[in-house]
Amino acid sequence: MTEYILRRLLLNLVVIWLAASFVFVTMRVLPGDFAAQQVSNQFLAGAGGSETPEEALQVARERLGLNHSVPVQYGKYWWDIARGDFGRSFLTSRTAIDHIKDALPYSLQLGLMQLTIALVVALPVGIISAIRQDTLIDNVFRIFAITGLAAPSFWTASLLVLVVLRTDIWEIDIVGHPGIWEDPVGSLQLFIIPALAGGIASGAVLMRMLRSQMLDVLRQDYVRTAWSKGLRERNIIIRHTLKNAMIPVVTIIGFLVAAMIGGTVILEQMFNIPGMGQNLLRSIMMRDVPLAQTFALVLAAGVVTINLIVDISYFFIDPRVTVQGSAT
Amino acid sequence: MSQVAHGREAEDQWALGLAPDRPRLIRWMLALGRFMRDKKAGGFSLVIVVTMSVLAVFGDALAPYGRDETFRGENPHYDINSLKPEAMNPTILSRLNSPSWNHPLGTDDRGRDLLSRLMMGAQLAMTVGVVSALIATGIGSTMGIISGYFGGWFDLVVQRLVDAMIAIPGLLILLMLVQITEPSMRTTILALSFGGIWGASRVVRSAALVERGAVHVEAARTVGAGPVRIMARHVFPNILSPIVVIFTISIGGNILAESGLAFLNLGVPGPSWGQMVNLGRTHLDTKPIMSIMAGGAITVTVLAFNLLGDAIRDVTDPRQRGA
Repeated sequence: MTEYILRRLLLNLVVIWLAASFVFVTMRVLPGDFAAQQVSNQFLAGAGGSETPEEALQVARERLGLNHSVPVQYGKYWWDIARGDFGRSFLTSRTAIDHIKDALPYSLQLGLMQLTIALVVALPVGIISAIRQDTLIDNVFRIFAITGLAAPSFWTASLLVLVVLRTDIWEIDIVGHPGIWEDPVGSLQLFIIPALAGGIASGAVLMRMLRSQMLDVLRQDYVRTAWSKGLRERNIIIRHTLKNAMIPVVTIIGFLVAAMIGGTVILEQMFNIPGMGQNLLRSIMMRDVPLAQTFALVLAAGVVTINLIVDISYFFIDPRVTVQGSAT
Repeated sequence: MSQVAHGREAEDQWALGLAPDRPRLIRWMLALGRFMRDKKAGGFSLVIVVTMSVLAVFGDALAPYGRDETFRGENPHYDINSLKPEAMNPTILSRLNSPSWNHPLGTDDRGRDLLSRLMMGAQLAMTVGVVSALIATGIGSTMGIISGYFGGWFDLVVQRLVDAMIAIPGLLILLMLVQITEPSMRTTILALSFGGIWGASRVVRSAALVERGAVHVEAARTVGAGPVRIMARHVFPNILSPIVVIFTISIGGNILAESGLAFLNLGVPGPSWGQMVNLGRTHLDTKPIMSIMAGGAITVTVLAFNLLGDAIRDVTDPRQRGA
């Protein structure tokens, strides 16, 4: 077990290195750089000083570390990370770690709310749909699920905003983006719509998975035995069926959590939530290289860590799983 | 795979009117008819897919108005004696008009016919969706078959690369790649194809792993068939069904991703559903129809491809039936 985890951790480091390198290279390939943008803005504003634009550009490049060749920059990038230095934002001059500390709580809040909504929707709906297979309620739930899968989250969110606007339930404050600790009510009022929009989409995936797994397990012999022994339905569903149907579902939950860390770019942008997604989008658009790289690195690390946690959790959920069986 | 089936399979084919001695076209038509009859949801989705394809090809010709044709109406504030700017012109751009006989869905925020724009949006969605799914599934399947068939250290290296690409959020890859050159359909297609390769290769690999140990592959190897021949003639035909399913479902995923990019103003110039949802958002309170219709078009199209993929899986893979 320990050996398995160690081996996986080592492989994860390789995966993170590959992912970060890909982002590093792509950020260099993108046309336009921050130094040129900054200098041209300075000169347009008439704040050029005594230097020529070429000199100013040279100075700015040197200050931002963009004057070296790409391989040198790449080496320096990893050398700095090895020393725990993730660089400073070109735009704000604050460290990238500080920016992550600011952004992460917002994304975590949104992600947790999404996950809660997804689970609250998917668990009962998936179970009922499976045990009442092919009835009216099953069909209604399935239509709900396939529509939820197909609808873009920004559209679902737009429709929810429309409902809130038309019924005047509350005011949506997208300028203030209050944190949960400062203004809990305002924060929830802002977050609930993107959380619902994202949660319904993820809940739909989860519900379909849970339904098909439940149906599979319900056909097993030991479930028939449980019925013929005269056990109560609640016991059969929860102890015999649900527990066995949960294993693939846990994979999907892990996958959803991973997607939530970084996959809410659109919803965060739409509701002006300064989380990981919005910061990432902004730093890529502004060519704020250190910030974009660090955000991408953290996201990739988060994804592989969650995958590892999911794989380890199988040992605890299902005693039949051994290291041999799950190591690929 | 030989054309002539034997045993149970042959009986089934006779019963269905799919007997091999009938002309190929008739067999295809009969199979299609059976699909439409047995798979209600699949048949429904096929109708939508065909409609959207027709719109994608002939949308410009079928649309009642031109792509950038703007309309003007009477200015209610017009007053010949006034010097106020809004009262000077007798006509005014018909922005966000309500539905009427001339404009069944009304006009958009720039005075263009909404229905026409919506019909033309199918062209972008379908082209981007289908072409990038084709490229991604093609490359991904080839990668998956080779990686799964050879196994060993080669497989290990390729799979860690796939892990890395899957670990990067898909939208992040897209956000970076679409900015490498100026926004165009080609850029979007290339970005989406690149992003889709990895997931497809993972699924195909696991299917290829199963086939690798199968008896017929063993037999082919025994009679001296080379790896390329085995992969092309013995592995590929047997995993064609998951490949087709991935292809169909990834079309839907690509259309969703494209609309997301368009929503963020990073999409292809021209009529686009995602962009229409975004533009309509500003007027959501007063004129929600623009956002609702454009988002509805995305949802229906993606839904159709998902249902079609499910139906194809049900028909081709009986073990997954009812999932």
